[in-house]
Amino acid sequence: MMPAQPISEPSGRCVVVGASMGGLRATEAVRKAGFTGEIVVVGDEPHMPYNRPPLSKEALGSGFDLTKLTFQASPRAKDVTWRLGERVVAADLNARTVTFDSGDDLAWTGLVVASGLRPRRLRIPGPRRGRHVIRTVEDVLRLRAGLSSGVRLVVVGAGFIGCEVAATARTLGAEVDVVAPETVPVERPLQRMLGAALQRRHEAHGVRFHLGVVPVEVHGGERGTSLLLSDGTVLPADLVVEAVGCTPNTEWLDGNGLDLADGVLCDNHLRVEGRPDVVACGDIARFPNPLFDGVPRRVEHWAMVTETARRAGRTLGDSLTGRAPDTAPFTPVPSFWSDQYDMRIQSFGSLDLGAGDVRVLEGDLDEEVAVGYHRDGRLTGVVLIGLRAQYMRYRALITEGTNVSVPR
Amino acid sequence: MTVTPRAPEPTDLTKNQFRSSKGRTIAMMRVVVDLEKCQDHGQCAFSAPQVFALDENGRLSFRSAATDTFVSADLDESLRDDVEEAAEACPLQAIEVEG
Ligand SMILES: Cc1cc2nc3c(=O)[nH]c(=O)nc-3n(C[C@H](O)[C@H](O)[C@H](O)COP(=O)(O)OP(=O)(O)OC[C@H]3O[C@@H](n4cnc5c(N)ncnc54)[C@H](O)[C@@H]3O)c2cc1C
Ligand code: SF4
Repeated sequence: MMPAQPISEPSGRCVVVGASMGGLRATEAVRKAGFTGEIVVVGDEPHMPYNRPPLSKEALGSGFDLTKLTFQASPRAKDVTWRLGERVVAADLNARTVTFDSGDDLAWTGLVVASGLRPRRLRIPGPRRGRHVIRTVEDVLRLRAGLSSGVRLVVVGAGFIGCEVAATARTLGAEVDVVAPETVPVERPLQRMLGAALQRRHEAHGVRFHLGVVPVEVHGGERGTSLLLSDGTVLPADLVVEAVGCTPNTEWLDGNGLDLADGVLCDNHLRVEGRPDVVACGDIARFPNPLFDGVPRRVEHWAMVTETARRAGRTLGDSLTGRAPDTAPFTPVPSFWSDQYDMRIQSFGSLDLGAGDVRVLEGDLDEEVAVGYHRDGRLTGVVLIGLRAQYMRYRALITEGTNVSVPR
Repeated sequence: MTVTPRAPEPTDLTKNQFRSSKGRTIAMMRVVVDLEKCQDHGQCAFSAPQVFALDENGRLSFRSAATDTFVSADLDESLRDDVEEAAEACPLQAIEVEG
């Protein structure tokens, strides 16, 4: 076991746990805030940070060059130590150390929690062979090795990732069945009307849906695998993709008295429970957004990773350099996109908050459409299918509409 | 304690890639957009509206000025923060800030 490294005052050491998008962008922001001490980024994947959205889309095609996914880093991130292929197994926030899987300890003066999520697995009996998840490039390499024309693929889960995989696999010529307990695909957050429209589009491309049911068992035989559903249906499956949501990677923070009920609880400036020396960002951070209300929420969308990482890095950088903190409220506009077949689904704002009042704002549900989500008659979120020329206008409506209701 | 990344198997994503690494010597700041990578997400237009815009068809407006790569005119230093934000915000990582 190695002793904790002495901290070289006055600059100190910033340790970033998680070498993906959030970790990279937070690192850049800590530097940008003027921190000149050492920065160590730890990641258990053996890769430099890379871009995940293509993994459920074009990267499933065998011709796609996965090395193209590596993020471009700002030159600010040059002077950084990358400890890749190493895992942090514990942290002591009072002693200010992290412990590696090797048993090494490392001391820090600032800590960034950017350890993201991992896919949930189905807990059903049966062989594991042929069952996949999609979060990493290794996952994709395994899956796409078996994904070819005529292959029978069952996607479990009808969220965005499940639907994207279904669309991509259909495009590649696979036979695709989607199994999910909801009544329509992407019921959360799109709600019934738009989810049903999405289902029609998938069905027009030949995807079969089995909704309101769950898989209960995997049968593995010589002639391949099949999936038994709760309504008694047996679906032959050469491949199964489990896209049933994710679990935050918070175990390494256990024992510090933090609220880890759903990711890491942060304040509006991404400080972990008000601590000046620990921030969180990306998919794991649960923070309040006064653009809507004071309720801390986790957001699993790409654009929010950049926003939270930049703000978290700034918060920590200011604290490490002794600069006065930026007190402006952090009010990012949530947005996400999803590409399925040739359609781009783009959302701005919060759909959940307006889930009780969903209306078509313009267009046709089966063509290009704008769907609005309202609370107290006010637009909180919008989803556009196509209508690209309207992005700026609808995004502006969200910021204007919600700003009015920012609590004082 | 610099650690060499583990053997890059089976796909090599271990190399560090930095923006502005083309080594061109330019005094001023410019943006270079790879229009083949770009999928018209428009995130850049939210981050740096003075530099990026979508046209009336919802396509990145630079498409009328170039087909494969768009290189901007020299940009004022005051735009650096916004332009860097745009480069980070681009889902396809199609924007490079040079200089
Ligand atoms: C297949 C897929 C498709 C997506 N498509 C879209 C899309 O179309 N649109 C959209 O808006 N968003 C999309 N997203 C969401 C987006 O990619 C995520 O929001 C983003 O990747 C989150 O980044 P992060 O850095 O917070 O977390 P992650 O990317 O999860 O990174 C966390 C990193 O930390 C590492 N780590 C965890 N624990 C430890 C530890 N103890 N020690 C060391 N390292 C650790 C992990 O291995 C991982 O590398 C998609 C995500 C996936 C997986
Ligand atoms: S953000 Fe990227 S993909 Fe979107 S329009 Fe700008 S350059 Fe193109």
